Amino acid sequence: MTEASDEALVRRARGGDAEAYGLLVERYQGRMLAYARHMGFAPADAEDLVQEGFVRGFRNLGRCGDPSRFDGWLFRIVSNLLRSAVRRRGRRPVVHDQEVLGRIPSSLPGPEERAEGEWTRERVREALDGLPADQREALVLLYLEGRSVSEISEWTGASPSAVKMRLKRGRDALRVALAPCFEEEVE
Amino acid sequence: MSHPVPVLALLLASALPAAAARQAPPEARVDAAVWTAVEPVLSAARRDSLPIDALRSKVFEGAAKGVAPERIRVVVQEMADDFRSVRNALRGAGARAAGDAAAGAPVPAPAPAPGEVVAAAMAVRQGIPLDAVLRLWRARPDGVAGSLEVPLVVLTEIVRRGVDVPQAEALMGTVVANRVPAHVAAQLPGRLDGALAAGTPPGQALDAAVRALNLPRPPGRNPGRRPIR
Amino acid sequence: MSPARKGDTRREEARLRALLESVRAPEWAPPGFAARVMARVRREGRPAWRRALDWLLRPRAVRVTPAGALLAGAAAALVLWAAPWSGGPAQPGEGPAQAGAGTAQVVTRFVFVAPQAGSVHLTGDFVAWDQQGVPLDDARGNGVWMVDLPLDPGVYQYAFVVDGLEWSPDPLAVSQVDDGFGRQNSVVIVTQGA
Repeated sequence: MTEASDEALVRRARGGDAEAYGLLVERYQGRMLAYARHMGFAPADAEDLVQEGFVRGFRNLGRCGDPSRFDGWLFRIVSNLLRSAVRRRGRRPVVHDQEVLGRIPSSLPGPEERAEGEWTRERVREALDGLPADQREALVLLYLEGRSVSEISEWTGASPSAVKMRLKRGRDALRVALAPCFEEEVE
Repeated sequence: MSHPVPVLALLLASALPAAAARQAPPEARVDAAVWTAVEPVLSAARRDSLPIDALRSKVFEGAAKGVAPERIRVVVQEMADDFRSVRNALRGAGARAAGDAAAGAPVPAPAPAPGEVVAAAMAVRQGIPLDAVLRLWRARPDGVAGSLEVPLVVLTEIVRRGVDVPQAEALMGTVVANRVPAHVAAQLPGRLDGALAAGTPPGQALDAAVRALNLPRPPGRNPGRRPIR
Repeated sequence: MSPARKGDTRREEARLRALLESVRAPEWAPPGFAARVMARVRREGRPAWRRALDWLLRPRAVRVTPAGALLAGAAAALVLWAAPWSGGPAQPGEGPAQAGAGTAQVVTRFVFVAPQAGSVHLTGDFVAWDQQGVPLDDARGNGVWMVDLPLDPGVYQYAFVVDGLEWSPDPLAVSQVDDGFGRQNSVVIVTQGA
């Protein structure tokens, strides 16, 4: 038995078939939750926001112009919710600027230890947490969600050149914040 | 990077307490029956110089929540008892510490600030051993009044999140002794939550939080987790 | 660009990709998540005119203010301008002093999500537990209620009052404590940043 296509499920759900929408939820819940985690949300917060995204998706299914591209449409809804939540939670303290890194060399593990592993992952998470939300969003969509610049532009409402600028600034900031993680690879 | 604050929000926010202040005094919201029940407790607390604002606040809270007068009295009495015993213990510990430092010379013991007494009582009530609280009190550098309120709350919070008491106490002792600013120490529970949410065990999560905040490490602790190979 | 520089750029790009890849979250949902979503879809996922009838139903708080993987766990009352000890750069001209008109107060943000509430008030020991303490504003009409309140540095207990009746702790607070009366209060630590 072949799986029902997104398009078929959307059409059934539009007709009031909640079960069909339930299949779409099961199909995309993991991806949406992972995306929220990539944007820095703790598991419980990610669940609440993604849940809200699915509920809004169902309410507004009539506005999903191309049911065969339900995933992108849903992504956009969740993206918007995450962005609003980021705005509301306010700024977070930025830990890793160059000045800080310069002052804590004695506490850094040796190169072999910082090459990989949890230490590095923590630095990456912190560096992402320190980015402005729009830069983080662009980097996450490009690198972790595999989206193109034009898709990011379409979803975020920013022009392609603005998206490229966010990507550039985000990359530059990460290179600075993660300098110790680049050393052994780049030097 | 800038931290823009909407001017309107600030204007609004600063207007709010002013609006609250124009309202009737808080005492007017509390039934006479409640005052009758709690007044003896409050009078005794006043005479004993306990943190009276915290006790009055509990009265207002109970009244706002519609709690029966007798229940409010019992809760306020328990709080006053907790305050008294912890305040006396802090005074005793402070006197010993001062006496040690001055080699027997009579030095007035540092008096705990009301916020410190409240935080210490809350810590003990939530399961932090009184001895740990007293050691933290002794670790306090001289002449920094009120400095222990936030560290005590943070100690309570990190223990509540599963860090064992000795590890939490050692860290907070270092935090206090090194005069780590309160706004940095206050970030520890949130940092810990982040690492715990990622599945890190509490002890390691605390180490990660310490590194992330670049806090001084307690003596004897390994300055950085070594990956297992 | 020289071939050597191009090579560096490519290596940097590959390294950056690998670093980001190292924090990729699994595409996984906790057991029961889809069922919870569908329960809400069945309850709330109705056209607007039908949902208007639900307006008076009991509000439901949803955690939104989140915590990053390493940062700020569940800080619901966000103490603004907090910066790490070792230091971000100084922020001249910014900070609590602006908010407090020369006082040492710190603007603290409280957020509560209650999509079906008609009003939300913040109360706590900073307003002597006045039920009408500080009204939150749902400026966008999306159920996210918020207020920025200048507070003196200290440790406070507080709660939200929804529709003038229902007491709720802040699900996003750094801590909840037993209030002695059978409910929970939330705790906020207000500190002055660097």
